[in-house]
Amino acid sequence: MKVNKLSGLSLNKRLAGLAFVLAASAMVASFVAPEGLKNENERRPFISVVTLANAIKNREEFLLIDLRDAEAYEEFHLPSAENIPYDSALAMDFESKVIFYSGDDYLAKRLWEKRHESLGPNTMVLYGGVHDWYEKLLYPELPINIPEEHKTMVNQVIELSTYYGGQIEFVESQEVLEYYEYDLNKKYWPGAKRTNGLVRKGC
Amino acid sequence: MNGPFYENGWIGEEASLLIALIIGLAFGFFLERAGLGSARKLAAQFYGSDLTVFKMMFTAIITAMIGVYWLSWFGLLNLDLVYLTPTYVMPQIIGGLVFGIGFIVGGYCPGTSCVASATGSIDGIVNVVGLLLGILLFGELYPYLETFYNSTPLGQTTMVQYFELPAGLMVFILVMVALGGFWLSEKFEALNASNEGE
Repeated sequence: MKVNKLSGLSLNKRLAGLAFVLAASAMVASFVAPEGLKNENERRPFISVVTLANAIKNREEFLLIDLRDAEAYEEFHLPSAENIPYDSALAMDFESKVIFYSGDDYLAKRLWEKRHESLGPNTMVLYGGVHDWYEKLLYPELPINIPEEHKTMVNQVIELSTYYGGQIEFVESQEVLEYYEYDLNKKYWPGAKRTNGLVRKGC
Repeated sequence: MNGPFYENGWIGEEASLLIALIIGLAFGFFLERAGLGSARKLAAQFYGSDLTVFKMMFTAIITAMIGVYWLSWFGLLNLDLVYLTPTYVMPQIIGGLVFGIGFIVGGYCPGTSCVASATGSIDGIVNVVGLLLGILLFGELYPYLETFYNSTPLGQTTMVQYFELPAGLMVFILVMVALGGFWLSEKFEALNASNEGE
């Protein structure tokens, strides 16, 4: 009976019905499981530049690995970092606690995607890589008027920036604080920052 | 393996361009097959006698939207990496009006003028030439337009972020608007057709 009813409808009406069903279930899904299935059981490997800067300063025990090539490493690297370029790191085994970083997240992400099962729970990746270390820790922008609830965190950034020989630029905007408030457990990889190559635009 | 393939490094630049070419050809082909290579059909949109453009474009939008929503929900597509054209309210309203005037006067939008040119239509080719000259003119005038061009920015924003609604609810609302719009436009077309018959 139901089949007969359906076959009586035009193709357009059937497609409209399909769109309705998919959209209605999308609405239900976004209330029942707003995050979808993508985050289930997925361990986030990120460590923030602030946490890492504290860890280096406190001389905590871990191996900090720079995945970029030797030339980039010579030009600038994080204090206490060792240079193990991506290709070599791909084939190595690590026993102790390891923190990886690359220029942006590109190499670290490739490594994590290829190796995260074999690297074990002691592995972490620096969120934002050298780029964020430079922009958000060494030479960060911070608001002139710091809201009370952010004071502890901002003071920590100022202290770390000074400790590592950076310099702070004070700006009007409060939005610059957003970065430091990220919950990295919920964060996805930041978009690859490609400087040369295709610039993606809409039509 | 999840998307976007290019941003996630699954495919390189060459493969990305090749896929873009194939999708572009398919896009043009289906535009032509939907009848949008004809200036008469496109202009009829504005006279209310044939709303194919509206129905086709809105169908494409909600189809893509439903696909993107579900792919992202299942974890197959990372929306953070999908490029969004930044919103600039005033420049885009003015741009939309200029675009609309060009559309009704010329009879084509940029995509359909290329489609019409491919079928050998002379007015299509003239439109494409005009399009290129327009781009050149805009480029030359850009220093004078720059302040306006960058005014009233909202950044890379989506309706979900702007209205702070759950993504699925926004999908549902837009699909309902589309289906309602399709129903009304068919009524409207029928009305116009019967008026013409009299």
